[in-house]
Amino acid sequence: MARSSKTTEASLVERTAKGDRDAFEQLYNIYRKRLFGYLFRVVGDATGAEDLAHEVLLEIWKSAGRFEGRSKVSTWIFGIAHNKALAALRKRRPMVDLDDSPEIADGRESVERAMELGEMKTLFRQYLTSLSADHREVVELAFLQGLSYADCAEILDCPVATVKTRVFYAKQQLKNMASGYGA
Amino acid sequence: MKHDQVIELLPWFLNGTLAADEQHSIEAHLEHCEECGRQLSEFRALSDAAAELSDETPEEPEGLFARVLADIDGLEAEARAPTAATATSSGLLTRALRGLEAWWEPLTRPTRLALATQSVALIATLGLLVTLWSPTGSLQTLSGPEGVAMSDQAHLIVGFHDGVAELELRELLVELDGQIVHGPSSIGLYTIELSFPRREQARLAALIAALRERSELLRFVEPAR
Repeated sequence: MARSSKTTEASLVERTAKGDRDAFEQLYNIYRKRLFGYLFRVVGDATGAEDLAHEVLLEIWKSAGRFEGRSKVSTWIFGIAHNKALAALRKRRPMVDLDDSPEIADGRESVERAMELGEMKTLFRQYLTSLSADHREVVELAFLQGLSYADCAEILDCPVATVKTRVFYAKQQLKNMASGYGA
Repeated sequence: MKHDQVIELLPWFLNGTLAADEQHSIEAHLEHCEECGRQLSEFRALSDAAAELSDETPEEPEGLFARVLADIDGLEAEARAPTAATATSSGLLTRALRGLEAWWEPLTRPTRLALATQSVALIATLGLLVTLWSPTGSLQTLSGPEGVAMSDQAHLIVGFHDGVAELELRELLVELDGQIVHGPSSIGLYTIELSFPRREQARLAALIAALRERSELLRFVEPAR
């Protein structure tokens, strides 16, 4: 089933490369919601996400001929989206790589005592948008897009070890924010 | 699997994308490790929080796809423009290329190599002669080769990528119906005189736009002024 879906999507890209607009529209319909949601949650505003979605779609149309099928179509599309979002965020403000930031205090003790898991979810939700773009993006790819760590690493163009560390630190950061330790 | 490795893989244990052996190792580890069980609950809370937040994401704006298609129409119209501008020469060009192929194909490989080498040497020598002939030793700008009388014909300055074969260079000249009047310069640029007059600026612009699409062959294309 998964293989069949992959093959279908790859054939849509192949037809798009030949200028087939119906195939391009089918591809758009498969990814429209996921793509816009991803961009919205990474850049944080609807107008920015719309501009980026426009750019990503144009790039898909222009570069479909260079898709060689070595990665999944979803990885290729989110790779384009990641690069566009990253460029937009760089224009807005200097990027801070929180993987290199000072050690994050572990607020586990107080949080564990203070919160039941239901509460933790509510607090996490409240602070998720305060995470850095790097951390929001990896949470998005792992939990909302449901991608493997290898696909996440390919999209983010970083080692697998970095992806794993980043998710863990995202969670730690949220715990610290929730318990009053974090920014 | 070590305890730390298990913690690192928990997000993907939750999203179900681990390989079967990783999945089984983690399940076995979770049966006796309280700390990993706690970490798993926290990752689950994070996953649920992200899912709830995603429900609040607005729908993608209406008309987005139509606007993208309109842009694609624009791109395709731009790409078609040079075709019309060069239509007059394309028939001649195709015939000339076919003639060249008919002449080139029957030659043996050593003969082709010898001819190609001689042609490259000839072009380089001519280029050197033109350079030496230049009455001034001043710095050459990209606005046009000094010391070479520019006729009323349109001119282009082009630079080829390293490794472009001499045959490809000749094919381009046939295609453009042009001839090299200067070059290679010290930075490897050639000035090509075209078959139409300088006043046909729109035609020149369309031709330049088409040549810029051929980035596999050309690294630089500018009008010579």
